[in-house]
Amino acid sequence: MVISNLEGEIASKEGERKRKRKGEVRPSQSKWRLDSEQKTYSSKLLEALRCVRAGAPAEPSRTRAVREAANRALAMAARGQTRWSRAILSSRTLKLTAAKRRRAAASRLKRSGGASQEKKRPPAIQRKARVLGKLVPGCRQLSFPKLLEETSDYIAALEMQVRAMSALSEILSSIGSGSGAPPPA
Amino acid sequence: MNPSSREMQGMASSAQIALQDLQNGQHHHHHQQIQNPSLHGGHFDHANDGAVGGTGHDDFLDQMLSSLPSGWADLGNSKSPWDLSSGDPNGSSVAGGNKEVNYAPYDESSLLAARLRQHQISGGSSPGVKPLMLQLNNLQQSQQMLLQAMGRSPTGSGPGDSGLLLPLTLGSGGAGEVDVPFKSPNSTGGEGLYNGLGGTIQRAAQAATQQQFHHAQQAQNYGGAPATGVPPPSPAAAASGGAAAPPRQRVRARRGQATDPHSIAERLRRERIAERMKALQELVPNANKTDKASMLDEIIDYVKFLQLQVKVLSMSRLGGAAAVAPLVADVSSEGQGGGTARNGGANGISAAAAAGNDGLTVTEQQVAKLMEEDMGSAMQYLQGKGLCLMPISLASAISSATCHARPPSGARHASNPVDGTPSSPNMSVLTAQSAMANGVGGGVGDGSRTKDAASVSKP
Repeated sequence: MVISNLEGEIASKEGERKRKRKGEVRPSQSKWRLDSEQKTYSSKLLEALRCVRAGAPAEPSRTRAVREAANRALAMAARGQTRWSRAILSSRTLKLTAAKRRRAAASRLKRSGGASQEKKRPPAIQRKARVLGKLVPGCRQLSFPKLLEETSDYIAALEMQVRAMSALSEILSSIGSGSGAPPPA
Repeated sequence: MNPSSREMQGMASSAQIALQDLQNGQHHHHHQQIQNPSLHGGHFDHANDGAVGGTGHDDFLDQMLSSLPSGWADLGNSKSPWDLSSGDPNGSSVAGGNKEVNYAPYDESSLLAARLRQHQISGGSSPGVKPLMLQLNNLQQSQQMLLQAMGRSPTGSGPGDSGLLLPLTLGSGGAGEVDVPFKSPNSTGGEGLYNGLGGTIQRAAQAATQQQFHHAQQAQNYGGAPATGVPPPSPAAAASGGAAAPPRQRVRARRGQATDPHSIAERLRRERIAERMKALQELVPNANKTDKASMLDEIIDYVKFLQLQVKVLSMSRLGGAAAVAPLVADVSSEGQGGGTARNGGANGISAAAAAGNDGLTVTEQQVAKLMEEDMGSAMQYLQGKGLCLMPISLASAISSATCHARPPSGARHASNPVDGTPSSPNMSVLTAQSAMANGVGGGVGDGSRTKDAASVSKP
């Protein structure tokens, strides 16, 4: 009750904080490994794919549309708890991707100009952290520990995405070929 | 002060044991209990880890010792609170009788021992709290009366009388709040305690609330008692309690490390980073690198690879290379980590080369032709089809492995020849043969293919 809670708080405040932090990191991995999560994602992906099929029949744009739909479905599955998922969901417009390409080209020009200078100035780890930040959506200007946390969740989510998409394509192909192969678990 | 607090701590555990004896119900065990603490006084030091009010207890002890002798005289006079609180005429008379009975054998030492015992009963350690509660609930009425009588406090917090009030009123400043548990010895009583403790130093408040919680349990048997006395005594008692118990909340840094806040923050940050890196190491394959930089390299490569896999899968999902799926799904759906998925991805992509029987030869010829001119264009052509090149040895190894994993898919031999062991080596061989037939040497083809496989894996 109230009194015993107070005692517990004062006694183990540090431990609780550590436990809370660990609790944030751990469930991300176990969450993306759940079969239920994969099934949820697969069904969402199927819906998205149907829309894409109807929408953009041209080959290259269709590929990109499929990939975007898959990423968006993955971000939805994250339930908005991670930065990268929010960045994916909030930044998916054609205008934005064109702007990104322009920005990437500009930065590449700049970098090639400055590549002659010594690269040791920013420590190697910081450089790699920047590269990683560019890879994970929405994590460019993030502190290092936060970036690592986002990366671990992103990697787990990507793994689940690959598993789900490959399983889905097998089912689709088996349907397409018309044989009676047993569906994967 | 420390020895006395230790003694008191010892008293607590011994008091618990004594209370267990009490539970059996003979009130003449009082004397035994009173003597026992003095016997076992110094032995039980371990019980009280929650000695929150340790220094406060010392002050309580002093005040108890000083004020108790004078307080005994008042006990006979202030009987009305007992009537109110107990609500039991028998209890009051018994209390009176017991009072007289129990005063006699009390000399200084036994008095002190008894008071210490009561004090420990009231302010005992947290692990002792719960068993204490249970035991106290089962206390016989005479024993309760005894405690009440002994604990009659002279400090004038009349309504707050119970045997355990004495130590409380003296030092903790929470005597007034004891009445609240009388009213309702449950969580609401606890909240009332908190309300009463509003102005006190937290430590004293904790000590007081602990003791009051104990009192709450004991007071259950007294029945409902008016809590009228709670507000008036509490401010005064709180002030005295605050002065008595020094605050002991300090951030204790670990031994051997600087207590400088900057270094502490730096240490925390480094710990956090190390924690996250360890979590990432479990996710990423080939995570045996101890260096942070190389670990970061691995992570970056792995993220790039996974994103590439998603891209390839999205390409294969559309019409054409639907047969890419089986082999990829075989490896991936086995639930293995990214390592096998990586191989599976590459293998699946190469399996696509074997997929369309009719289209295969055409594709092969096309690729071979392109390879003559320019490897880059050949690679682009293949990638446009969602394919890639891989060494024959690797392909055969992987296909044999996956063949074992998916025996039932052998039925689909015709449409998915990659599932069968003999087929993909044949395909790879076919690819090599067609390449050779088109003028590219077998060794060159293998070499270039290896090189291409290497280049494919690292775009």
